[in-house]
Formats: sequence, C-alpha cells, structure tokens
Amino acid sequence: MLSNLFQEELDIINVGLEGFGSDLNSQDFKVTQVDWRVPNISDETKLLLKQLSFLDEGE
Amino acid sequence: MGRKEANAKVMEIINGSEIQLIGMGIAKDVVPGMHKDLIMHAGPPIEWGRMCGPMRGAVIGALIYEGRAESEEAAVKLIESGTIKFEPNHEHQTVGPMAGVISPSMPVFIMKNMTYGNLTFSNINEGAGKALRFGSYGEDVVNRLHWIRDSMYPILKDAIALSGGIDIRTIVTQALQMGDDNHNRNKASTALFLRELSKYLVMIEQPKEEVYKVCEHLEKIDMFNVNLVMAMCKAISDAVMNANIEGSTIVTVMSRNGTDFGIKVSGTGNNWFTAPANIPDGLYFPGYSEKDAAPDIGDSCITETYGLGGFSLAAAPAIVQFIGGSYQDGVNITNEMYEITVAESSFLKIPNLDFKGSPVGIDIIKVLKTGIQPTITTGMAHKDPGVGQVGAGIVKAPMKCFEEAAKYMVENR
Repeated sequence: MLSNLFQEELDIINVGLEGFGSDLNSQDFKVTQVDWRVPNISDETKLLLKQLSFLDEGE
Repeated sequence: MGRKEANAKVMEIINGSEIQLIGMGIAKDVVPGMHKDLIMHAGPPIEWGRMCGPMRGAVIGALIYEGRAESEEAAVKLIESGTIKFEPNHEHQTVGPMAGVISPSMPVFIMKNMTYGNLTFSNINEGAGKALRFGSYGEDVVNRLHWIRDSMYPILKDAIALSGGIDIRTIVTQALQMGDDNHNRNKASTALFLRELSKYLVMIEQPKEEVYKVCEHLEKIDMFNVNLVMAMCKAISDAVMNANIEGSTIVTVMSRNGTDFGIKVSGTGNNWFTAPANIPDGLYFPGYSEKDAAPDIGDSCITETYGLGGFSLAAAPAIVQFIGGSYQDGVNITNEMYEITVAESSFLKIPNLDFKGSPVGIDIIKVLKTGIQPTITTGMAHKDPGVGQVGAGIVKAPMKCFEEAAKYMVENR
C-alpha cells in the first residue's frame, strides 16, 4: 500500500515548521504550507478553560 | 442551554437584524438618560482624573461648545467642582468615534433595529485632523461644531425624515464590496449614503447655499459614515444584550477610552471587563512618531465586534496600505479572525475571499484557546489635549479582558 502511495502524484500539506515542507519542495514535491503554531497560553488560562467546560454541558 | 446553542441564538440576532437610519435629534431630547450636566464618552467608565489627553481635550471642547465655559481653565474648574458627570456612551444606547464625547446639545443620528425594535444613537463626524474627537478644542473646532448643529443638522434631519428611513445595512454590505473595511475606510459607504440622500436634499425647504455646504462636507470627509456604521453595529449589539442569552460566550461590545480597553460578553449581563489599552502600531503623519500617540481610544471597534474593520481587512486593500501593511497582511488578518469567531456573516461578503462571509461572533473561549487577540484598525490621537490626529494603524484587544470575562463566568456559574 505504502509503495503504491509514493508512485502516485502527492498533494502534501505541511503543518507548522516550514523546514519539512521546504525540504520536500526542493525535491519537486508540491507542498501546501499551513501556518500553525502551538497556542501560547498560560497555565492559568488552561485552568480557566477547564473550569469553563460547564458551559458545554447539555450539548 | 449549552454554549453552542446559546451562541447560535446570538448569531441569529446578529445575522437577522435589519437596521435603518430613521431620523436625527438633539442628544438631550432623544438619548435616554442625557441631562444638562452629563458628558458621555467612549469606552468603559472613567473619571476625569484617569482620562487620557485627547479625552480631556474633547471634554474641555464640549464644555466650551455648550457655553458652560469660555476657556480651558474655566472648563477644568467646572469639572473639578464635581458639577459635570461622566458616563459611557454605551450605557446610553450610543456610540462615538475616538474620544466619543457627546454633550447635551449635540445633534445625533437615530438608528433603529427594525427586527428587534431597539434604537441607538451616534454623533455627526466633523472631519479629519483637528477635531473634537481627537482632543482638539480650538476656536475653529468649536465653530465647526456650532455649524454642524445650527446648519448641517436641520438639513440632514429634514432629508432623512423625507426619505422615510435609510437602509444602512445594505449600504455597509455594498461598501464592503467596494473596498471599505467600514472602520478606517468609509469612502464607498459615505458616497453611497450621499447618493441615497441626494434626491431628498434637493427636495427639502432649506437655503440652497447651506445644502451645498452640507454636500461639500460629505464629499470631503471620507470617514463621515463611520458614525452610522457604528450606530448600526450598536443596534445589533443592544439587541443581543437585551435578549440576555445565558451561556453565550460571544463578545457584544469592544470599546476603549484611551486609558482602558473594555469588553462586554453576551452571557455576563451588563458588566465591563477591562485592561490597560494598547498603543496602536501604524503610520504617522509627517512630524509625528509613536512617542506622540495616545493609547487606543474610541467606541469604533464595535465595528470589529460585528465582522467589520480588522475582521474584514481582506476586503480593503487601500486601507491596509494606509496603515502601513501589504494586501496579503490584510488577507492574513481576516483569515486569523476566523479562528476566534463562531460564524461567517450572512450578509457581509468578502469578494477576494470568493465572497466568504466575514468572521463574526468573537467567542472568548476561542480567544483564550488560541491566544489570538482581535485585530482592530484605528485612527491615532496625540497623547496631549488640543493637538488632534497623528496617524492610523492597527491594534490588538488586550487578552486580559477575555480572561477577566472568563473568570466572571466561572465565579458566577
């Protein structure tokens, strides 16, 4: 299955660090870059979000 | 009711509100709670002692305009006597750009949410540069305000009355497709408003020379319509607030007074959640720099709260250049705002995003989860009273406001 995959034309999506995408790009693969970063949120905010989960009850 | 259901109900109100400009009046006659000693201002509540320079300048100018003081010194003395009261526009169904100062005898537009029945108000835009809303209070500024009240107001009032009501939402919708973000660029919407009004302006019984001057004012002031757009957004905001939808986490108000940035959130009653206002980042007029700028100020980011301004920047390449960015910056900012909103507008369509609806319904949960702060396009006022506008740029809503709103929801569950 995997060997078949690499014989087809690949549509590659690279999420986050651009280096992985540019390496493939330099080998003539078509790469779509998704600008994504790990959210920069504090431990206090994480706790707040956990406490707010009561709002999702009843869904 | 769960959060998603509550937020969907808020979106029904936002997308379903038809808004019309139905008339004009003098603030003390039409704005609920206005009285002879009240000065209303932009942003969350603030007392004289904490006001920034441009807001102080605008208050001084308003007292001179009202005939309550003849000089800066006399105005300050009157304020310090405790006679003058200060309250936010937002607590009186009203909004005003920059300092947003509205005094009893100022004329205001009257906007109606035709779907939900509530009324809102906004003042008349004076123009760029040295203007009361940027903290200027010189003789030329006060004279222009008197001309607006004595000459412009009766003409606009008669023309609007003759029109039977002007559909502002349709004008904003069209203007977005003509390159306006409807916050910092209102060139198209002002032109569309004048086009709508022109046939009534020629029909009213007013001196032709004065009607000409009114048309000239509208022709020269590209930002004229921002006050109407803001009142439209406020009419949506108040309809959401009046519905009091428990469990909703959607921001209904963002506003700043030049000292504090404040937000209100649908499921938290009428509380303000505040944090120190940020300094905008942008382009300065010749002779000015970031050292001259006051912190972020004005009720005008009610436009971002409802999918305009920074949220629709992809639709407004010209304004991106004006504030020092590229076309792609505008697209990136709009795309980022989809990450913190719950829906796409059903009527604000962005042509260069293949007519995708603009991002609308800022969810405090999404803001906290992603760490993405709402982006606002804004004018910049000089930090000192009496100087005026020094540039335009973009600014972020402080994260602390959203954290404070979340804490309130946890503590009052």
